[in-house]
Formats: sequence, C-alpha cells, structure tokens
Amino acid sequence: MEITGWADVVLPECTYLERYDDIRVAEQREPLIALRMPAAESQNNTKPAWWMAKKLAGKLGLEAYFPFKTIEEELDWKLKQMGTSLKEMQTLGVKKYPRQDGDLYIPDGSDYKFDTSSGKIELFSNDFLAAGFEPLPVYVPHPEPPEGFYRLNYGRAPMHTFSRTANNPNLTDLMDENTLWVNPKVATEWGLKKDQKVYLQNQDGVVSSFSIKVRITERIRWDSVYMVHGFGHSEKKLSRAYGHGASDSELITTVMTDPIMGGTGMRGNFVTFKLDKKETIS
Amino acid sequence: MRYAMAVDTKKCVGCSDCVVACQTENDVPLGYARDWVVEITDGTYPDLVTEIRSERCNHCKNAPCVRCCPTGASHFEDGGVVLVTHSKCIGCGACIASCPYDARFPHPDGYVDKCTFCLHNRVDNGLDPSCVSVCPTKCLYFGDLDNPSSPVSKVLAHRKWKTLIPEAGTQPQLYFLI
Repeated sequence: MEITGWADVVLPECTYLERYDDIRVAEQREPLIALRMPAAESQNNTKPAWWMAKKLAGKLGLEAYFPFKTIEEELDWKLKQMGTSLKEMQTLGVKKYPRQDGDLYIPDGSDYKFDTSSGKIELFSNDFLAAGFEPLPVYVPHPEPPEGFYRLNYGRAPMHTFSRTANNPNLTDLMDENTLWVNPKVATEWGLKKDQKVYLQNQDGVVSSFSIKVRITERIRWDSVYMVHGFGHSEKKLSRAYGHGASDSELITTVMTDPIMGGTGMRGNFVTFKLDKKETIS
Repeated sequence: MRYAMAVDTKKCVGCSDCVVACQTENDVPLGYARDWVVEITDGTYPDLVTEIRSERCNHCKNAPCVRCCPTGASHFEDGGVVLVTHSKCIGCGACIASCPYDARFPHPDGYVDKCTFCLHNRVDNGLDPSCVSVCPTKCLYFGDLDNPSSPVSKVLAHRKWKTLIPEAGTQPQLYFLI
C-alpha cells in the first residue's frame, strides 16, 4: 500500500460492491454471462473506474470512444446484443447459454491429438529435450538454511486480503499484527519467550524495519519460521498498520526461477534473529 | 421450543467472518465481540491435531448468569435464549464472573452484553442469526431442538458432538461437531 505514496495523483475508486462493472463472461464448462451491479451507494466521493476513464477521455478529446452517457446505457446496449437486457439481468443476475463447441470432455475412443510433438500426453518430453532441458523432471535439492538461519515461510490469514486490508478498522480489530511462528526447540535454543519482539535479518544482510512478536508453536518445523504476509507497513498514514508486525516482502531478496516455465519461488530465503537490535518505535 | 446452535469444528477455517457479521448486525463496538474463534493445537510436530471453534454464549439451560443476576436483567427468553435487558442491568459484573465460558463483556454504555442468537432482530423474522447466515463454509447450524427437522437437530442426530465444560453443570446449548 506504500506505493500509493509515490503517486502524484490518486483517483480513489469505489469498491466492487458500489459500482457496475463490465459484463462477466464465462466460456468454459457452461457458457454464461453475469451482471455485476452495485449493492450499496459509493462513499466519500469515490468513483468507478469506467467513470474516471470516461472523464479523462473527455479532457483528452477522446469522447468518441465512450459513446454513452451512463454505464447502464452501455451495459444495456451490450446485453441487447446477447438477447437480453439490463432490466432482465438485474432480475436474473446470471444467464446461461447452450454450449456451441461440442462436448466439454474428450469423448471415449476419439482420435484426439494433444498439442505436443507426438500428439500424445508426454511424460518424456521430446520438446524439452530438443530445447536442452531434462525431458523428465529431475529432483534438484533446494537450498538449505545456513547454520543459525531458518527458512522464511509466509502465508495468509483468512480475515485479511493480501496487505490491502491491513488498515481496515474491523479487520485490524480481529488481527492487527502478524507473529513469527517458531518451533519450541528453536525458542529454547535462542531463549525466546512468547510475545518477545524480535528483529529478523536475512541471508543477504537485510534487517526487518520493524520487530515481530514470537509465537511459539508446534505448528512449524524447526528449520523454518512462518509469518502472515501483509504486515510491517512503513507508511505512517496507515494509522492502524504502521509498524505493526514485520514485512515478509522486505526479507524476500532472493527469488528462484524455474528454468523451464519461468515460475518463481520465494521461499528460498533464510532469516536469523537479530536480538541485539533495539526497538525503534514504541 | 429450544433454540440451539451446532458448530462444525471440521469445517470451520477460523476466518472470523462470524465475528464481523455479529459486530455489524448488533452494533458491537470495535474492540468487543459477542462471538470469537478459538484455535487449539495438540501434539508435537509433525503429529498435530488442530481444532478450530467459533464460540459464543452457550445459552445454558441451567444458566449461572441468570441465577446470580441481582436485578433480573439476565433472563430466559422464549426458546431458552439467555438475554440481558439493558435498562435493568446495573453493570455489577456478577454474571461475567459466573460464566464458565467467558461469554459476557461490559459494554461501554454501562450494561453487560453478549450473544443473543439474534433472537429479536433476525430469528423472530424467520432469519438465521447473522453469524450463521454469513459463514462461508456453512459450519454453523441453528434451529429448534424440539423440531427434529431443524438444521441443528438433523446435524446433531448423525454427527458426533461435544459441549464445552459439561462438568460445570450448566447444560450448554452450543454443540461442537467433532
């Protein structure tokens, strides 16, 4: 959320519950369209994105690309092309259409060609071999934490959505900081106590900006620590979130990349407890 | 009529949506809650069992809070629901001390507050309590135990369940499916 602080202009958008959005189209199992309509009035002069785009287009002399006055008018026109209307969809919500491109599943006994060089499902991939990769998956041991370091695992809490709800009054009432899950064996080794505030330092020497409370629990391995993502915000205007807990993102300075498909892994970072660092905020 | 609730500990994920729904429905001030989520882990890594429970007032048949209330503010309503009449409550806190489930709290407006099963604001109008209606895993079952076809009667008939602190003799009406 700190990234907003870098913006010169902020256009506050209303939430999805307060606006019309474009028609939702699903094409897979059962073709359908769905209307997304407001359930409540928008608050604090926030606006939907289509409204901002249309107004900006007006300033830029691009009105012709937005040939409608209201979003209702535009949605109604689009829906009429599909044999329905805004009025009907406001009652239906979701409208299903018959499948037009055959069976959902490949019929038994059919001569189906998969999109591979052999046309079959390949466990041994000739394409990978030709591109210089292992044709079968080969186990590559992942990096292990150095002595005194612990793998930094991160995850989510069910009441928060990424980091963007970290300042929400109702949700901070439920959870206003993250904790560092530490196995009891590790806690004993380091002399850590429940709720003790610790700073973390990662394998690249990065020290967390804020401290995090220790939660001693059997629910974590002794070679790893865990924290919920989305805390440790450094923007002081986030009055409920500033300095609450530590940020995992800050300590993730190594990102591993899968050489074949390019997927990234961020759980190859290791942290240790920096017990000599003193509290900087109260 | 006997209102009761069952909480499926196998389905609850501890999201606390029940807490926010209750706070919103019942104007519970931030920092207070009529319902809450408990997570308990037993065992040693990696052999662990975690139980997650959405907890609230147990609306006990033999409620110590009703018995000890000096003004009659705490009382049984239709269906056995334990309620507090705010205007009669002097905030003495005897009920808070007597509740084995820690289900009551002093409201900043000077009376003692707790779960009402949303009796007069929702259940009387044919709706489920707010926590039940929002639960994303549908782990909460509510209804009349005297009616064998109510959701709570049906689920209790075919699932193993327990109550909390049965040894207190309060005959709690909040059932936990295990």
